[in-house]
Amino acid sequence: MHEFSLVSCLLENACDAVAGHGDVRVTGISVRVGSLCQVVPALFRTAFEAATAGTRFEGARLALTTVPALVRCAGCAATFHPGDVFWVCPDCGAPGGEVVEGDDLILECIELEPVYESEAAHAD
Amino acid sequence: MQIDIVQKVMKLNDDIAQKVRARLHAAGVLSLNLISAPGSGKTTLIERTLAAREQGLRAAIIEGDPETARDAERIAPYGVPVVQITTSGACHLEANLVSDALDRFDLSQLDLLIIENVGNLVCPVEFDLGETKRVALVSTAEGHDKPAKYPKLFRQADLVVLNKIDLLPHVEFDMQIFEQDVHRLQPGMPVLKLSCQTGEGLDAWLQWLHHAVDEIAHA
Repeated sequence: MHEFSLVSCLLENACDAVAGHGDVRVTGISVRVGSLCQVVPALFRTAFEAATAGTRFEGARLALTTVPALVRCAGCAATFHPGDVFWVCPDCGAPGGEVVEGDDLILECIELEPVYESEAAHAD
Repeated sequence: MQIDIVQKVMKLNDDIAQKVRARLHAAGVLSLNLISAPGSGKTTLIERTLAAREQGLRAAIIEGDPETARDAERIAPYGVPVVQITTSGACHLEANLVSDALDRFDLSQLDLLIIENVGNLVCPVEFDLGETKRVALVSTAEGHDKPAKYPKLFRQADLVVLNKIDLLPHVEFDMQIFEQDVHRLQPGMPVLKLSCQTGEGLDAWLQWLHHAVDEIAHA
């Protein structure tokens, strides 16, 4: 259950990204979830909701896109999408391989909207 | 308005891990990230290693646990520097915790740093600590199916250690399936079989360790 740690990392990255954009409200965050990065989307959403409560990210739409694993064969360098825990190259039959895609959690983009002065004053 | 970023969420951890790796490398220290389930014998393997280490091998230990300093207390009698990190329930160590712990060692006086991660076969795998080598430890009592069930650890490890081989007559553990699965995940992966209880196989582990220490020292 490391989703909470990952969400805190995500929010630190997101805070850095929105710094310098003035008074803004974050309305959406898009994240690419590699299928090998051991993240359970439902747990990630729960952690996101808990971690963002009371922050500028509260209520932001979290868009998670799954990136399938792509592996390069160590034997013949062919790339393939493994269909099983045990990777087998469909071209030469060699086991294992090196991950090309699908191992990362990537913050793709953030959607913002300005907080208007009257609104900000009201919030104060 | 939309800001495009495209950045690894783990970048912060990975950047700190790279700094940890550079500090250890500059000091010529071999660091191991020891990952296993709770109760496989991580601390016992460290104890046996410290007891049997060659004269002159200067070691330090980082103990990661959700609670208590019990592991650091077990290491204390061996007279090596030890830092206990209690994660307050967190299921893994992160690079910043290791980086802070490094400040408490004199790296110029060390050859080997063993980082005992929190007992868990999933979460620690995701966090680079800046280690030189990652060691996956399994015990026979856990069963032979761990590589198939927790493949990522075995795909990433530099060494697999199988502990508690003295229990083989008493537990259901198919060595052939275990080794076959490890090698289907990572062809050529060395698997060291040992018993911290009887001492069988410890020589090969110490040999591997000394070889790895020499490699770093002469890098």
